[in-house]
Order: sequence, then structure tokens, then C-alpha cells
Amino acid sequence: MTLPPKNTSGFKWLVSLCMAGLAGLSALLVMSLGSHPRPDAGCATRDRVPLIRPDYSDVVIPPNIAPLNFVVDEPGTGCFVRVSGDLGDPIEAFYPNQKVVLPERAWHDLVAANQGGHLSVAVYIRSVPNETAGVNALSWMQFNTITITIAAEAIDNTLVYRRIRPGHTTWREMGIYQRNLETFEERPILTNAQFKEGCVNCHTFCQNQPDKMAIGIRSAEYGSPELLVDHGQVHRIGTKFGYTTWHPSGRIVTFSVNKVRQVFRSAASEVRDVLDFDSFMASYQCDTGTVDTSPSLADKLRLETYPTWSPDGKYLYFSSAPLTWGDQETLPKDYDQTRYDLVRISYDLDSDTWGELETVLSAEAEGRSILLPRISPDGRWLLVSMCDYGCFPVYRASSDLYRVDLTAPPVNGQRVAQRLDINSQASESWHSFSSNGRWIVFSSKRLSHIFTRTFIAYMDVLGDIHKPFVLPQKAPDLYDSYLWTFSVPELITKPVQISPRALAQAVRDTDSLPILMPVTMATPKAGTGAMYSEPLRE
Amino acid sequence: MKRTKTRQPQAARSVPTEPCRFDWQLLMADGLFYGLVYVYLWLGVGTHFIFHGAGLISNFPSFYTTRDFAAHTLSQLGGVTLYASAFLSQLFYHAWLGAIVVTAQAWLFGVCLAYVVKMSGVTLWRWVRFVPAFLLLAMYSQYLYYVPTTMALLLALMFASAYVYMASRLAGIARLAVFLVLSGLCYAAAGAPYLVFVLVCALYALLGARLPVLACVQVLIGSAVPYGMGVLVWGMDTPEAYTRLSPISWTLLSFESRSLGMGLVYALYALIPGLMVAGRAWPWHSPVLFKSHARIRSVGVMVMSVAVGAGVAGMSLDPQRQAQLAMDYYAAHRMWPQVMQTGYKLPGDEYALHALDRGLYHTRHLGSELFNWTQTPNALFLENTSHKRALWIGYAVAMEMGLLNQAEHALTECLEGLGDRPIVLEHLALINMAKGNVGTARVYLGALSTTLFHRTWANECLALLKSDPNLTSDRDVQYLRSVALDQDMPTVKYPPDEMMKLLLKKNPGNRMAFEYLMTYYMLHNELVPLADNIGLAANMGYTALPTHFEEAALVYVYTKKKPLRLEGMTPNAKLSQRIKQFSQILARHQGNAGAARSELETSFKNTYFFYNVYGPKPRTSTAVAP
Repeated sequence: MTLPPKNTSGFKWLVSLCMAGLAGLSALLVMSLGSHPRPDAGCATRDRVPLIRPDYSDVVIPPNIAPLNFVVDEPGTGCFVRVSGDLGDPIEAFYPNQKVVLPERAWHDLVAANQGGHLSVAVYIRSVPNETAGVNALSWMQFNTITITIAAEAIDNTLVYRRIRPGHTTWREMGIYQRNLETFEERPILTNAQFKEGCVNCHTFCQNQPDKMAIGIRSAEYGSPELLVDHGQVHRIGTKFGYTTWHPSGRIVTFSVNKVRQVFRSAASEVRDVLDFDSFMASYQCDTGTVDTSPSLADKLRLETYPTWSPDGKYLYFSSAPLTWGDQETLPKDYDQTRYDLVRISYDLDSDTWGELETVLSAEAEGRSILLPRISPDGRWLLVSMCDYGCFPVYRASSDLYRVDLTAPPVNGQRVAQRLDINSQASESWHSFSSNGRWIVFSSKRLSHIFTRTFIAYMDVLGDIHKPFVLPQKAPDLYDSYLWTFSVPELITKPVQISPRALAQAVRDTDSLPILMPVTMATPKAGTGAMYSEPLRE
Repeated sequence: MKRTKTRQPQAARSVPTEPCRFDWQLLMADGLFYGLVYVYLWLGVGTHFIFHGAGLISNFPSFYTTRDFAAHTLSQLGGVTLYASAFLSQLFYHAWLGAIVVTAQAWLFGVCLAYVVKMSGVTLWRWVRFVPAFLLLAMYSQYLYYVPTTMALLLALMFASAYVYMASRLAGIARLAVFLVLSGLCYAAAGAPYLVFVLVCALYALLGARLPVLACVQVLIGSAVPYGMGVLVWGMDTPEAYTRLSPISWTLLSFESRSLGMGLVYALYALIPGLMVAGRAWPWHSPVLFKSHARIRSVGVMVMSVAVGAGVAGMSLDPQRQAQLAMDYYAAHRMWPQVMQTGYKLPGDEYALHALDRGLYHTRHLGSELFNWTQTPNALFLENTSHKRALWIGYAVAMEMGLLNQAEHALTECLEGLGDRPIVLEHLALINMAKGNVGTARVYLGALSTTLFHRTWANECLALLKSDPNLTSDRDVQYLRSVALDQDMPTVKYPPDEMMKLLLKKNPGNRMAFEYLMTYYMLHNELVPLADNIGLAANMGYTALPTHFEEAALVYVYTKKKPLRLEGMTPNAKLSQRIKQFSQILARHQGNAGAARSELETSFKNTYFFYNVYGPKPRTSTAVAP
């Protein structure tokens, strides 16, 4: 027997061709590096800062943030950018497509060298060629320098968010992801591809620590459990929690149970709207695996939602509105008149006793619905979303962030809420604090009214919040075409260590920790676990 | 002279001995066969219908030309398959390009099959290499979308062929090393169909090289690779690691619409390993006549292959699915004559009826030819169905009429349920431009500008948004703004009649809203509100009231015994005569509609009079599962 003749000449040709191609490319690269256009010394100037997107001018950034890549939105055939500070080596390069991607290592060196100081971003635009003068007549235009302030305090290095499509009632792909803020790395914590496209709901951490985490799940195939992660152990709780908050002790998880209904608008800018037909709150005791509540948390005549514990664990803050409809099936005519008060109730952990309910901010006095309370780690600042009505600020363009100084004495028995300057015409919501209290992250629709993006803002020691900036991305134009929304941004001090596989396995497990809802619960249908009739999308 | 002992690779002992030479007859036969396959796929099937999808194909991939999309897709397990499938699937947009993709796939399957089987020392009929083409023809004749699944298999077979090629020239440990390297690459590129690669390699070792130990080692390694790479490297769950991109993946089997005709995919997967085993068990020997008459053999093989191919294509063609896809394609491209023509092929199909009604409106025949087709009350707005197809098909009417939020709602649901298809992005961009949500429109346009075939329109719109942010010069946007509803009404479900009345309140000359409102009332036999609103016809610029609307008005007058003024319109005397005749026939049967039916059907079947008595009643419950 003989082997078929080996014909290697074709292969050799191919290899030769590849080598030649590589050599050519290398030569081109070397030539292009060597001939980077630079602006002339005496180029024309424009007395304004250049238009860049995302807008990073005059923002305050953490010293550990990833490079602020951006697109220069000025007409031209390229731009030269120099990023410099008082100390360290400046970064400078020419970008023919005007998409400025800064080198990560050089950026971090420069930012670290100037921590607590400023960065200057000088942008030079190379003009559009003049047809008569030709390419040789290309000139440069210099703009005013963009200033970026670098704060002394770092931000927690990990941001966790839910990434979903802006859907209404249908969903396919979604997941909870963690983003390293120092780089651009995004890794999944749990995606629904791991459990047949079920729904991954909101995530909550205990005091910015990744060791204690709660995730709500809803799946046609695997039920609607709550996953509680406690130092690497995943517990599958046999009922779904709504909006969830950890007691700072880590021993109690307080949650709302919401009967959500989605509503559609026929002519508003935002098509979707949401109301809670009913809601109440309860607490899961991690040690005993039991659930209890209090009449103040489950008032038959009120809607209670968005619980949050104060950092000292002595108060539970939440939103509460009167329940004005009896029918739980048809859309109430006055649903867009519902406004939530902000209330709080004291709690003693040792004796497990609840105190008296008190109003922190009154909807009637504010003329708005007060939602999503979050308190700074030092206990001083309370941030809330306020919108014209209802319980879902992310769908309300009127939703703005307000700040309350909890240490300031009440005026006429009421605390004073101050609207923040960082708001826009679009919805602002889902805010949270960093572990050091110097940074807040929040969701905003200011870039487009459908796609929620995450913004970061610096809060100084006086409580003033500086101009926010959108979460930087490696591709500077990512937000121009990104069909995903970032929802519920939460900062944590380090990445979640538990693997997506372990979490998915817990979702698919049939063994849950059974819990019994208290039969004394005031709101009807308690204990059925069937209060979730519609997915909460964002 | 010292004899040099050269060691031949073991595989050489069993490898076929035919020297490589160019076989013109084979080339011509292949060319003719695949040429016919191509023509059939191009002109007979039309991959552009599959690209459009009609809301029936829910797993058609999107493709963007960005680096991010490439990086994200290629970093997944089976990323090469996913990326290639997504790219090649876009070519289905043009039937002639899509047909090239499928034909090339069929040809490559045939080449791999012929090579692997031959190198395994198995003799088979030459036409067997056409079997993958037959299976693909059957799939595409049924308009089934399995590009990623078949692409993954093709990649696995190409890797298997590469292995066989190299292994036949290597020996011992080198062969195992090649297997290991190709294993890693194949699994990373193709996902779980890698297991077919393992099977083919093991069968080759067993049957071709006669190395049972190697075959066992390969099976052992092959069964561990998905765990080692899929679970430990990609962090997947074990079942996913062993099924990803294969026909037994949950992403197909969990959805009825994605697992239609799955038997064909299974057959394609089993084909090569099956032939390797079967060919060895029952070796094929050419008849003496064929051996001595090569030309007869070639012609015979060719004729038989073409005949089988034609038979497979003809027998598996699904005319109903073809018509469903074509109907929606034509409607989406506003090809109304084709819509009417295709409508006849889908009697009783509410989705087809919905498109027909839309076509009738656009050709100005809604009020005069509506009852030429058997109407059902729910088809006009696809009410009472929660199927995704209703959203996919129904958005166009809402949008054209001015119900922009309703259309946006439907399209956003489609975006999630059926994927970010260009047509969805295009309409979402247009709606948001009309609503003045420029930021949102830019995002949809930005995505669209990185697609293969819709980038031009998107870039033009983006440029326009820069030069004219209010879009005052855009005719489509201006039209949508002129008809768009401006009165907000929160609702759990949009009630069609209320919506149309609101539209007419804003713009009394909205002819589409008026005609659809009248049609809605007719189909639901709601004559009182019809009579209340028929006066709006005066704003529509009619020279005469459309026939069916007047018929309905006459039925109202006859049944309610109340006069009705047709504002500014002259009643059609002929219609008055017709309703008298209709009533007389009914009266002759003492009002027994059943008894009078055959007589009335002869002369009145295409009238509202007939529908009013014999038409179906509206459904009130939602019963269709998504």
C-alpha cells in the first residue's frame, strides 16, 4: 500500500503568504506609530471646551476608576489628546477616528500620582481637508482644557447591576453582573441562561459586603426562590422576596411582598407604568429560618414597600401609601394619585421588638411620592427618589433624587428634603452609597429615556454631591448603540466570590428551606407566595 | 547495501490506495447537483422569508460588525460557531446569498462525509455524499432554522476530517497529540457537537486504522473534554457543557417553535458515524456493469441523486409555513398584490387575515372588498391572543394608524422575545424619532448602523438627527406625528375601539382609524356605535360611502328601525334594493337563517348582510400560549 502523495507546496505558499502579510502589517504599524500627527505650536483656538461624549468635563472621579474613554464630537479628521496632571507622565496620542481610548496602566499611574488633585484634558482637532487647498493644508484647532478632579477617596472596586433589555412583559436574556471599576472587566454573578431563561431579580448586599447577598429568582421550571448567600454558603429559601434589605447584623433580611401590575400608557413618553395592587413587608430571621412581621409593616389599609435598614440597625425606613382600592384585579381609576410617605419604625435587635411608626417625609407635604430610601454608612444622609406619583420611579421621568440630613433638627416636625443638582429631565433612581459614603451610584435615563445607564457622583464631607459621570466603558461609543439597561447598581468592597455555577445549581435544586408566613399577617393572601403576578422589569 | 528500515504509519495499512487525481466527472456531477440545489433554494425556497421570520422563528441571531460583538460572541463556548452562524444567517436577507450559504454548507458536509468515510476504508455508494444535501433541502423546504446547530456539526466534521488527514500521516503518540489539540479547538469552536468529532475519530481509529486501544482512549478523552473545558474553564453547568449548540440543548428542546422537524437534525448528526458503521457491516460492491461502464455509473448516480433531491424537496415542502412566512414578508414590505395572492393560500388564518385587511386598506378596498375573504372578528387587531406573533404582526397597523405607544410596546416585546432583528430596531427608531425621544432613537440607530444590510438607512437618519434634530424634513416622521395619539390613557390592555376614537378625536381625517373603526364594529356586529360614528365619513374625502359601511348602516336601519343620516353622502339605491332582496329571502324561510343560508350564499356571500347573520362571534378569552 502506498500513501497518497503529500502535497505540501500549497501549505508552504500559505505560510509564506502569511509571513509576508505579517511583515507588511508590522511595517505599516511602525510607520504609522512614527508618523503620528501632532498639533502645531501656534494652532487656532476655540474658546470653549470640546464636545465629548460621554461628558466627563468638570467631574470628580475616584482615584481608582478605569480610564475615562470618550468620543470627541467635533467635526474633524482626527484628534490629538493630551491628558496630564501636575505630577506623572502625561498621556498623549492621536486618534484618527476621534475615539479616545486611554492606555490603562498609564491612566492609573497618572491618576494615582495626582490623587486629590486635577487632570487636564487638552483636545486638538485636525480640520476637515479643504478641497482646494488639499490635504497638506490640514490645520489644528485647540479647545479649552477639560478639567477633571480626582478625589482623595477611592470608590469600592466592584459594581453589581442587573443587565436586562428594556422589555415590557417578555424577557429572554438577563443576568446580574459584577463590574470591576478599576478595569473594564465584567463578569456574571448569575445569568438566566443557567436556568432556562427564568427571571433574575434584584440583588442586595449587607453593608457593601459581598459575603452576604440576596437574589430573587422567578422561573416557570424551578419556582420562585430567594437565594441567600452567606459566606460562601447558598441557601435556597422557598419563597420569593420582593425589595430586600439586610439588617446590619446580617441576621435579618427584611423584604417586601408586592402584587405588581404593569400598566401601559397610550401617549406618554414612557410606555410602561407600574402599580402595586397590594404590598406588605416581613422579615426573615436567618438564625431560625422563620418569617415574622408586625402590624406596622403589614397594615391592611396601606401599601408598604422599599425597606432599608439604617446603618446602626435601629430603624427600618420604608415607603408607605394608603390603599385606596378594594378590587385587586382591575386598574384603579385613581392609581396615578397614589403617593408614598417615607416612614420609619424603630427596632430592638436583642429583644426583637418593633417600636412606633413615625413619618420621616410626608407625601402630602412634598406633593410627591417618596421612594427608595437609602442611608449613607455614617447614618447622616438619606437619599430618596421622589416622583409625581406611584411606586416605580424608574418609569417616571419626574423622578429626581433628594437628600435629607438626618442629623438636622426637623422643621415643624418634618425633615427637610433637598432636591439635588445632579438631577436631569429624565428619571433618576436606584441610588446607593459606597462603603465609605463618599460615592453614590444611581440609574439615570438622561442619555436616552428608555435605556437606563449607571452614573457615579462624588459626595463630599459637607454632603454636596458633584457633577456625575456615566460608568466608563472600554469602547468610548458603547452607549451609542447598547441595547441593554443597567439596573439597580450596588457598590461592594470586593468581587462576589461564589461562582455562577454554584448559584445556578441552587436555583435548580428542588430542596428549599421551607418557611411559613405568619398567619397573623394583616394583608390578605399572605403566605401563599403567589403575590407576583408580573415581572418587575427594571 | 544497508537496507534502511522505514516505518510507515499504521494507518497506511488500511487507507485507500487511490492516488489523488482530479476527477472531472465527479466535479461535473457535484457541480450540476449543487447547482440545482442552489437554484431550488434561491428561487423555490427563498431564504429571505426565513430571515424575516414572521414571528415564527424566535432564535434567528443578530449580527453586528463591532469589535465588542465579535469579542463577546467569540469568547463564548462555541463562539466561532455562533459568530459564523450569526454572520451567515444575515446573508439570508438576500435569497440568492442565503442559497449560496446553504448550498456551500451542503457541499462541505458532502466533502467531509466522502473523505472521512473513504479514509475509514468503507466503500459506499457515491451518491451517499449527497445525503446531507437531501437533509438540508428537507429542512429548508420546511422553513426550519437550524443554522447554528448544523454549523456546529459542520465544524466538528471539518475538524474530524482534518484529524483523519493528519492521523493518516502520523503514528503513535503524535496521532494522540493531534487528537488532543484538535479536541480543544473543536470543543471551543463548536461546543457539544464536538462529541461527533470524537465519535468519528474513534470510528476511524477502529475501522480505518484498526487501533481499538486508540479508539478507547479517544472516547475517554473526548467524554472528559466537555467537563474539563466547559465546566472548569467556561464555568458552565455539566448538562450545558455536554449539550450546548447540539440538537439536544434546552435552548431548542424547551421551545416548540425551535424544535420543529428536529428528526432531520438528528439524522444529519447520526449520518456520518452511522455510515461508517453501516458501511463496514454491510460493505457495498459496485455491480460489474457499473465497474466497466464508469460513464453509465456517473450518469446513473447523477440522475438518481437529482431525482431523490427533487423528491425530498417536493415531499417536504411545507406550503402552509411558506405562505405564512411569505405573507408576513410581503406585508412588511408593503407588497400588497402579493399579500392578496398569498392570502388565498391561508384560509382561516387570523394572522394572514390581519395582513389581508391591512392590504385592503392600503389599496383602498377595505370598505368594499372586506367580505371577499372569510372574516373573523379577532383578526383585525389580533385581539385575544397573547402569542408573540400577534405582537410581531400587529405593530404595523398600530403604527400606521398613529398608536405609537402600542406599536412601541409590541416592538419592544419582539425585541426581547424574537431578538434584536433589524426590522424591529428600524421601527423602534422611527417611533422614537416621531415621539421626539432622540436619545433613544440614536441608540436603536446606532445598533442598526452596525448591521450588514440596514446600515445605510440608519446612518442617513443619524446624519439627519445632527442636521435637523426636530426632523422637520423627514416625511415619515412628519406623517407619524400628524396621526400620533396625544391623549394619554393608562390601561392594562389597549382597547381597539377606544384607541381609534381617540385618534379620530385628535385627527378627524385619520382615514385608517375611521375605516378600521367601522370594520371593527362590523366584525363585532356592534351597529349602534357604528351608527354613532359613521358620520365621520364626511371628513374622509369619499365620493361615496364604501359599500360595506353602507351595508352596515342599512342593517342598522332595518334592525333598529331607526333612520340614519349619511352626512353629505348619497345613499346607494342599489344597496337598498339588495337589502330588500336579502330580507325577502330570509322572510321566505320564516326567518330561519339556517334554511336560508344556501340561497343567500349564492348572491350575498360577499356582503355585510351575510356576515351579520352568519359571521362568527368574537372570542372573549385568551387561550393561546406564548
